[in-house]
Amino acid sequence: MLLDVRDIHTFYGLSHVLHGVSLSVAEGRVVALVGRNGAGKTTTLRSIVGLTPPAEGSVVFEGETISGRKAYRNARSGIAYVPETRDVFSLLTVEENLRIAEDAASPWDVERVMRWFPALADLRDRKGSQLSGGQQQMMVIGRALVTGPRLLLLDEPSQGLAPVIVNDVLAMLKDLKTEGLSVLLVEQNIRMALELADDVYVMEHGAIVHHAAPDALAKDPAVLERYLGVAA
Amino acid sequence: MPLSLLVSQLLNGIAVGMLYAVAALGLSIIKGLLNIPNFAHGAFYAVGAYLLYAVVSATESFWLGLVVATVVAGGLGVLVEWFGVRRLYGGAYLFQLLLLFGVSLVVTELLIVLWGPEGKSLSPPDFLQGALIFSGIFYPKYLLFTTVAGAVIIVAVWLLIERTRYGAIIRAGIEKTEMVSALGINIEVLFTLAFAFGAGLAGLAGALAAPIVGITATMGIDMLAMAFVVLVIGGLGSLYGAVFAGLLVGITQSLVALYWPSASTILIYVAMVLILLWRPQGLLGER
Ligand SMILES: Nc1ncnc2c1ncn2[C@@H]1O[C@H](COP(=O)(O)OP(=O)(O)OP(=O)(O)O)[C@@H](O)[C@H]1O
Ligand SMILES: [Mg+2]
Repeated sequence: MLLDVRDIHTFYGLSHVLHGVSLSVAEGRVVALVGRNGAGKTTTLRSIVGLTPPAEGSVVFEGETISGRKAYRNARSGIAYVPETRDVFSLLTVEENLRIAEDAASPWDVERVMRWFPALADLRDRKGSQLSGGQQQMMVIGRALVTGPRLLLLDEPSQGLAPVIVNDVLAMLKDLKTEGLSVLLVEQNIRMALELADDVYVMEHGAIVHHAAPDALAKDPAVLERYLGVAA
Repeated sequence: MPLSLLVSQLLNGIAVGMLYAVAALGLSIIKGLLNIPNFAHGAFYAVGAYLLYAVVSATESFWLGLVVATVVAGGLGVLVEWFGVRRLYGGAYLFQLLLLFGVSLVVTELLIVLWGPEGKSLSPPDFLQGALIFSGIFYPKYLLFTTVAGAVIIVAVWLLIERTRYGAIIRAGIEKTEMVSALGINIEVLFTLAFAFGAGLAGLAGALAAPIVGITATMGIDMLAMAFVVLVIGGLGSLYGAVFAGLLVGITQSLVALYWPSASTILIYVAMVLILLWRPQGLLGER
């Protein structure tokens, strides 16, 4: 297993948010993590990368226990995190946003990202704050790629984007999947999650409540309705 | 009042303003990235002045003195950040203030222990002695040097911050610290370096000031107050507001001193209050 999350418990101060979450991501797979607002999806990703370290349980990445290590070390060992808030550096240019993240050993360098998203190449000298939501999303995915990830943690890449742009993002993620990149994808857009993922975990109240293949889940209106509020 | 006197005083104000700007820029970088009010900044400034004095006394080399002042003040910054400040990130301002104020007192006393309670004076190096005199305007060469050196330092810092990858990381860290670490950058080392860099700028400003203002263990206290005023006037959120405000304050102080010497410092505080009432974010601050 590339990533094994084993029974983690995470707190924000005194508030106990994750109650024993376990999940795994196999090499080259796209795994989706879905669930309603406040279920604990973002907290799970933050626990994995080390920004909100779990108090109990462990995160094992490529056979090594990484929970308890600092976020920058986990990032260097190959976990790239694209937050829900995107966290574009608004005063840096597009090129600088990518350049500060670049690792010489990554198969993705800044120029390759620019070729992959020609829209970004045209905006190279634009400040991060001047990009549209879709452009920002492309840029932060590119920023994650240039760090040379073995695992990409993507938090709601479709959030707040117009449907046409969501399709662009979906196409990009399919490209990455074809390249063999392993992804843990948090997504409220169920159609997108089911279309991309090899494996789906459903979360509620800080715990995994369901684990299924995407086509099985698509045919399970009871689960969709109960945990995701999607009318079947 | 003759025009030539006014111009002389203006030139003097620009030189002093450059020193304020360099010291305040250091304060501004520390405040921006670490969100720490560096109350020990004045101590680093005094350390810079004494080191220049010590090196010049021992080796007669002014240039070596400037380098030693900057590097040792920066090194002292590393120690203070490493053993003290980093334990207080995100904590209450009061503790940061107490720690840094404590550091400042200890350093000030150490300077007295090492060099005695009387002040020292240091004349500019030979090639910067004397003055340029043109149409009645008296322009000491050392003030010209200070002005040029200040401008070079500010431009160099600007290039470093705006044009290098290291600078881009600092700008990113000022805005979103957590995201910078999630990109694999060791933010703690970055903080240490930034604190040291700010302290080094204070040391360099102190060294440059030494031949102008004289050297005393408490020289940093006046500078600290002035540097904070400059920072607030320029705008706490703006790295370079400090540069603009430093020059403005230096020039204003010098010109006012011509007409009403006793008021030249208090007037700056009054101006700060008025500016804050009009623009609470400072002259170049945003929001
Ligand atoms: N910084 C915080 N401090 C305290 N509680 C928090 C914090 N962030 C999140 N929470 C709480 O933790 C729980 C899980 O939040 P989390 O953001 O992980 O959910 P999510 O599944 O990502 O939700 P969404 O779909 O809205 O992004 C929620 O109840 C939330 O209110
Ligand atoms: Mg979330």
